[in-house]
Amino acid sequence: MVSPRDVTALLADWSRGNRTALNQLLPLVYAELRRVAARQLRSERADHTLQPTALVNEVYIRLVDQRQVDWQNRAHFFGVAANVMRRILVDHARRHTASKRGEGVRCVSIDEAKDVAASNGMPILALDHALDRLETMDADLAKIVELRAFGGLTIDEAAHVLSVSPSTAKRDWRTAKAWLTRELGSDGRP
Amino acid sequence: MIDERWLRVKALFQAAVERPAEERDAFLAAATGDDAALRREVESLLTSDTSDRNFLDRLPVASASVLADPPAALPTAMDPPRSHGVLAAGRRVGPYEILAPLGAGAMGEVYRARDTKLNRSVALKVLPERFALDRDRSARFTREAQLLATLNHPNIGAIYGLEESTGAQALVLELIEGPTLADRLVRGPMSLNEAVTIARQIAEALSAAHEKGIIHRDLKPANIKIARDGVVKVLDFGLAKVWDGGPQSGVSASPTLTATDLGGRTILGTPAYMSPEQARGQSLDKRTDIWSFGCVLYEMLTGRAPFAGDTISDTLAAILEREPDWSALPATVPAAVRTLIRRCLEKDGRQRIADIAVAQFVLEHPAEQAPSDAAPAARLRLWQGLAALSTVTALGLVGWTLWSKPSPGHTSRFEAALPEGVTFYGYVSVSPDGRKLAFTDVGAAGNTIGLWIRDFSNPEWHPLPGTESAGSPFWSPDSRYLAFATGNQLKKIAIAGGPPQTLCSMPMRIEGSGAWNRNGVIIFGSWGGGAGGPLWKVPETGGAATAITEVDASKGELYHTWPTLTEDGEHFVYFRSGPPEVEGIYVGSIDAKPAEQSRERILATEFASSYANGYLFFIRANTLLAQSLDLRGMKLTGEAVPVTDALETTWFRTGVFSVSSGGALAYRTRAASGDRQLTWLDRQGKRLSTVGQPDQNAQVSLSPDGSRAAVRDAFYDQVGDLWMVDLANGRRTRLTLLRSDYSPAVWSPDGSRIAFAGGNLGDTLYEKASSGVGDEKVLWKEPGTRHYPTSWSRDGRFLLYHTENTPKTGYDLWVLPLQGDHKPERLLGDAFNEWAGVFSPDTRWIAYASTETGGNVYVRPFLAVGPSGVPAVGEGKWQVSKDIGNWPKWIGKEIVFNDLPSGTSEFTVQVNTSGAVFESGIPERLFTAPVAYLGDYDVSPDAQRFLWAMPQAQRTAPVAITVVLNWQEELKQRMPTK
Repeated sequence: MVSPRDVTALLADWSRGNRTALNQLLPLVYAELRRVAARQLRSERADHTLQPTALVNEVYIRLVDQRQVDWQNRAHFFGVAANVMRRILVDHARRHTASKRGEGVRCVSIDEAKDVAASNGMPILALDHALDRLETMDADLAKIVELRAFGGLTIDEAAHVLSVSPSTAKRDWRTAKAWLTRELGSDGRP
Repeated sequence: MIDERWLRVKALFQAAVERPAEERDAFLAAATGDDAALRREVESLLTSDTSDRNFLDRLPVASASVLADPPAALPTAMDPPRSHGVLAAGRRVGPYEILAPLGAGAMGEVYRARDTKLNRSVALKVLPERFALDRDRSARFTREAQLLATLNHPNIGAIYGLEESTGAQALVLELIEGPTLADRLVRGPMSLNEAVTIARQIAEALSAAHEKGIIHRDLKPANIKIARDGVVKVLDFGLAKVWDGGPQSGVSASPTLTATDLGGRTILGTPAYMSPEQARGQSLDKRTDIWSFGCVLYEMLTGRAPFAGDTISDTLAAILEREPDWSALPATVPAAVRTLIRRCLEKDGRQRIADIAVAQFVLEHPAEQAPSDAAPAARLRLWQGLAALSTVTALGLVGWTLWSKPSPGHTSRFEAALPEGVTFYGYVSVSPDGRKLAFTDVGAAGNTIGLWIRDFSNPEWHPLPGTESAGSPFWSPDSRYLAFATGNQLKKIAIAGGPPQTLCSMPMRIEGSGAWNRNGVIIFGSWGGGAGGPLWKVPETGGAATAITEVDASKGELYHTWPTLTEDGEHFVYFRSGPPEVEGIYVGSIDAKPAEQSRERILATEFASSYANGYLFFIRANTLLAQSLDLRGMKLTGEAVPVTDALETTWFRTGVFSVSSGGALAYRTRAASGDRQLTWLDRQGKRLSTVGQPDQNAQVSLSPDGSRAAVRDAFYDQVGDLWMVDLANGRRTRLTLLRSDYSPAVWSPDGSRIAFAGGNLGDTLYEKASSGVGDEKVLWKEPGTRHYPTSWSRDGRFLLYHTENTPKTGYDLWVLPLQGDHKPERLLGDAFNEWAGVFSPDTRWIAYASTETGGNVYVRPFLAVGPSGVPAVGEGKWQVSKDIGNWPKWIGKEIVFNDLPSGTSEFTVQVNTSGAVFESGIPERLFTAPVAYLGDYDVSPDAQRFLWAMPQAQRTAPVAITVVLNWQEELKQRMPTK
């Protein structure tokens, strides 16, 4: 989208309180996410899988001038990207569950990122739905799950985005996990 | 709406998991007392708490198809509806026991239910889950339902109330047994008597509702019940608006077009009863009901709806363009009733009957010899009859008297409402044939981007797949293709469909639209981010682009952009950006060598212009003007005629308008900063009083004595001007006419002068008398750097400002001495960002915001003469905010700051500067503001009040694009010299 100010400046503007900067930032992130993903899929990964967090990382490196951005802005960027990633995955899952159940989105543990064969189906839709419900009760809890699960943020980074202390973020993450596990079961299947 | 119970559950869970497992039972028993349910809830969470990895620790991995999917399937702002369960008989919702399903409507499923308290049968409309999940909408719904529940009329289906119980929201409605009018009309037309009897009761219902200011918005046979005793009941009054939730715009303002959610399937209802203004997504008043009433009356008499079509677009086209088949009305229908229907079905709302009382009157006396379309004597009689009706409003009479249609106007205007959930951004473009319009959007949540197009004959917008991140759209001469830029690439796409084709890739960003001539040549502008960008040409089939202009860096030119073609298709009018002495509109030739293009400026302006049919459309002080352009003499002739004021402008030195030789003109007026009411708040955030009328108020800055406020008419990132508001009487006068970026005013200590940033993207610091008298004086200018002044020292000697985006150091704090050599000094410029500096009242300290620890407010000593003989900061640094702090204001012995961007709260902290060392107390939260944006408010000199530019509505309505057809006709009339 149109912007003479690059993402770096938009991030800085946003962290200074210019809320419209976010609106300009999102489409840039979105477009770049899709573009990088498409390229990665074409050339680099024979198994046709992606790790969204790695993807977000690459987009970050491409879009943001590292010299000018401190880690707090980095956290904000990932916060934005997490939300975009969630929407992309959910939308995809919605359309594909209609035809072939579960196809298209798989998940692996962090340690097994290369071992796709060991993957389970990721309950994207169930998680998304549960997150929506959680959000009506407790928006902070839902947001921390989004940041961690879709943006790959650490507890500290998520704490910064949410403007809470790391210990609060840690407690909230644990609470959210317990709530979601109760709602969805430990494998995420309701 | 905080769920208190959840907060308890959460607190108990978090306390319990910190304890060893064996202690938890005892802890919970003590903490929950006899609330066994609470205890069970916490325990269930504890059971689910696991340190083992579960699915949440695994990262989603997407397969190839996820991101390779076509963008047509991008998630939209309104997520697709989720399915909701069907309630089984016997289930209870609050005191209501479900008996049987009655049907499904746009707003959810309807059940026959028993009110176990009052022991009566009711209809229960259970709202979809997603509805209840949306807190804003849910709250709005509750308010509206309360209002609707006050409608008490024998011809209106009553709303008994709203039931909210676990996870479900339901409307409790009067249960009316009997068929709907739609059921009855399946059997064919009715007799005149029967139709009039029913119509009269519908009119009664509308009259009662309109009197309360409630519009039905979705009147149709399916919403009209004929109860067993023959009494007519109109159902679902006003629910359309509630359902739509937002302001009365967008096609979805008609619930008949609302997606109905049934097990995930989306069903679109008929728009056959929709008024033209509804079809266009314009704002609605009670006349929309009068239109629908006319449709229903017509259908009762003929057995068919006047504007029924096979498809939705057929139907909409009929509503907007076609007359009903009047010959279908049986010969027995008296002239008065015929005329009534005709006057209900006037496409122009202003020509339509304005008050339902007129219909009531006519239906009371249907057989009376009423006027044929041209029978003045009879009309006079009706006039007299109407005048005798005390309830008839003046508006109604006016509506009735407009018997004859005006001759069809040559120039017409309409508002093209934007699609729901779409945020307009940057560009509009009308096609050369004058029939189509394109715009670019940026989704509020960033999930819809690209180009949208619509044909004027159809109110629906269509996104163009494959145009993500598109900017700078312009049309092919045959109006069949759109060219657009994504970053550095120029592309074209057939509007009939198909993937976009890349025409060329450039080393710099392509910006500012382009033009496409009949010989297959495309010209377009570029933007080198300060490095300069000329105009280029490329064949419409693609290939290497060649420059056709040359940016004259020696004159300070920055870029060339926004070419529009003249009639011969070989010459073009374009904008050269640069310093005021060169910036403006020039004429070029496609075949000329870059260095040989004409340097004769035909208009000095800060904004790009457009040429069409002998006119130059240009912008001055946010007004779009048109003036004749003599291309041979290369000069503007005659007078400039204003086309619209309050034109929206963008950062890219353009206005949001587009004009085609085919006679269509589209523009968008500003609303973003409009309609904001200056409001005084106390320290608790309570509203005290307002100042003046709502206006385009932003970036508020109070004078040192608190008697005046300087405001900008645009937000921080928009081009705008400064105004002065006298707070005693609300009078607002213009201070500057620069139309430039971008800072609020900073007052001199005596209030006689103001300083602000302007010039080219904020590269200049100005001062000006606060009386508005005299010109701006340049204090400092540094091309390429954005300045933002924030504080004028009490001793009058220094101006504090920050600069943006200096390589490596980001935002830096600078001070400009206002005496002596006026040479600015950088106070702070490390790898962190520093901004928003303010002097302490004694000028010995500065407070500022920095990213050093996230975002916090710091204080440092200010030395008017530092160690090297120039102003500097001294040793020592104190953090005064605790976790987050932004935009400090220093008033007496306190610093007030906010927590943007993560929050909208105001904080205060006491400071002590009497000693050698700075001391501050613990920050306290004052209040949380409903909105906050950069520079939305200022603090009074006594720190007791805040002056806030408060938006009038929580959510600003999406502003439509105004379309003018046959604009030349009107311009010719208004331009006598032409």
